[in-house]
Amino acid sequence: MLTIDNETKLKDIVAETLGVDAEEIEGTASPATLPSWTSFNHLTLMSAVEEAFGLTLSMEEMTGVKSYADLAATVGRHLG
Amino acid sequence: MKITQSDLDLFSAASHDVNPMHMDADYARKTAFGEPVVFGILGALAALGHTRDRNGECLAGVLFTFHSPLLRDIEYQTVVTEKSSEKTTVDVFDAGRMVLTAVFTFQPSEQESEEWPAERPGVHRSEPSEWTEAVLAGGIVVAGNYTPALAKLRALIDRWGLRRKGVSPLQIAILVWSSYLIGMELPGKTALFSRLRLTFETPAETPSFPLVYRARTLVLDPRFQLLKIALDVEAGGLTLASGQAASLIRPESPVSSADSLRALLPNEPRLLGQTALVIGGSRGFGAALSLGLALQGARVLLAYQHSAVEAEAVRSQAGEAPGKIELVQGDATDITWLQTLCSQIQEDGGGLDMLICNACPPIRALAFAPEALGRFQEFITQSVALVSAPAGAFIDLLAERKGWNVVISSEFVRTVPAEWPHYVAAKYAIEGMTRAIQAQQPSVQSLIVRPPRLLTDQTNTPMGRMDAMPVEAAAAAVIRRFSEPAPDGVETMERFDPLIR
Repeated sequence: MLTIDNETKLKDIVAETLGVDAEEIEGTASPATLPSWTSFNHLTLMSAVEEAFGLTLSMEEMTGVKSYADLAATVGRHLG
Repeated sequence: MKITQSDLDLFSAASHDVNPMHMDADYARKTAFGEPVVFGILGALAALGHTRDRNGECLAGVLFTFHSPLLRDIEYQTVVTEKSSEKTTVDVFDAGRMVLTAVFTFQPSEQESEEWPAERPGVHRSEPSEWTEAVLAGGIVVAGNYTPALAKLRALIDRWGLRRKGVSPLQIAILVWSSYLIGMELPGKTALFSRLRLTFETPAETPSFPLVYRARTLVLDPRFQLLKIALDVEAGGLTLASGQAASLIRPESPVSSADSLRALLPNEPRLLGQTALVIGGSRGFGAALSLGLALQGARVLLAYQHSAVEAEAVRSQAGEAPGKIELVQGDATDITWLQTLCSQIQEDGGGLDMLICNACPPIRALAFAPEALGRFQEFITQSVALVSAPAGAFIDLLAERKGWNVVISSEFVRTVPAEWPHYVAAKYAIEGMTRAIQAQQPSVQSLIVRPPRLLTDQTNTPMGRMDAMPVEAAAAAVIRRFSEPAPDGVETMERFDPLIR
């Protein structure tokens, strides 16, 4: 689970990268619901998350992120 | 908005960006996109033309994200959004699929935005740079002087209606410079421009060309070959813009390895005396199949349409093989050419033991939507023709020897990726046609091959390569099947496990 601060930080990164408002981002947000969540922006997003949280995601983790909820869970596992 | 070849020519002339992915059709055909792609900055300028006029304002910054390459002659849809009076976003879609996002930020300005700088020549390359990954990863700085071709730049501005959009000629020059920088200097030839963020300064007076630029690599992410670059532009001692660009590095075209195939195939040649015709045999999976069949002793007729150099390279790789490769050039949808080839095989006193239809049109992501139906249908028509015409010409000859009618399908008929509906539909059509041919001509042995995503020119992008199977592994599995008992009816091959000979 992410802390409230980290949840806010993660939503800000997603919002900045995908060009959407942070309020639009729910757990079900995904490439299917956000047109700007393209395959290239997926890479940009993973890279931005790694940089902001100081972690390294494996390829399996990156390709396993199918929604915002997946991303939050993945980051949460790394932060412990 | 629609961008044509003449738009590419004009942009290239204005910017001095002659990167072959945009300007060399033969080179571009062998990339994952299959044809020349539109300069990303050209797409962004075309998008700018869709914004409202702005008086008393000038551009303060841009953020361009190139989600997917734009192609020529496609009618793209633009959605313009103003979340505030200073900020306009233009999203560009291809049948509902986002391909470009251009964000323009403006600020008040009293300066005449249409003032042109005095022209003084810069220095530009005529061939793009080619850096090794190690050099890029180690970090480099590229600096120089740049002046666009001003008459062409004026024509570009007029073409896309960019006057009165709050963007000065100098700023447009800086934007086209960014295209030159990425496509010609850093990373150069293998670039796939992905993102640009620039902040513009507003000098008190318009400086003269040339632009004086400095670009410094920040990081190369080796996992997906993403290069980030810091940018600074000035002129006449005045800072004009700074920011960051990102470019993917397109990998080298994958080439089939005879050594890899030898390691995966039986030591002894098991196909001596057999003849195979491989449609689309010069590159990718077809090249691996051709080479592997020759290594197993078969006489291979390698049919290609355009890739003569690659076809010759496959043939030369088979130099010491027990079999041999003969090249035949033609259009595999042309029944007359195919029937002539069939007659030649018969006149040579031979027959045909394997017909392998591997050729496929370039595969590009496509939404299933009304505005894309033309491309959807064209892809299916071409795909089916590349199998039906050879099958029509050779099926009787094949039946004489109870030969193999092999079609290359894909595991995507089961996994059905949403962005490739045309590909899935075409492969289903081809599989159905193969079953129908088998019913009509039961003497042949039909093999439907459903490989996973293979590492070929079609998938050769930083993301497309992820988890792609080497073509040699899939080719070896198919070739080994030919020396095993014949199937009862139509067989579908879906397993391509690593093999031990």
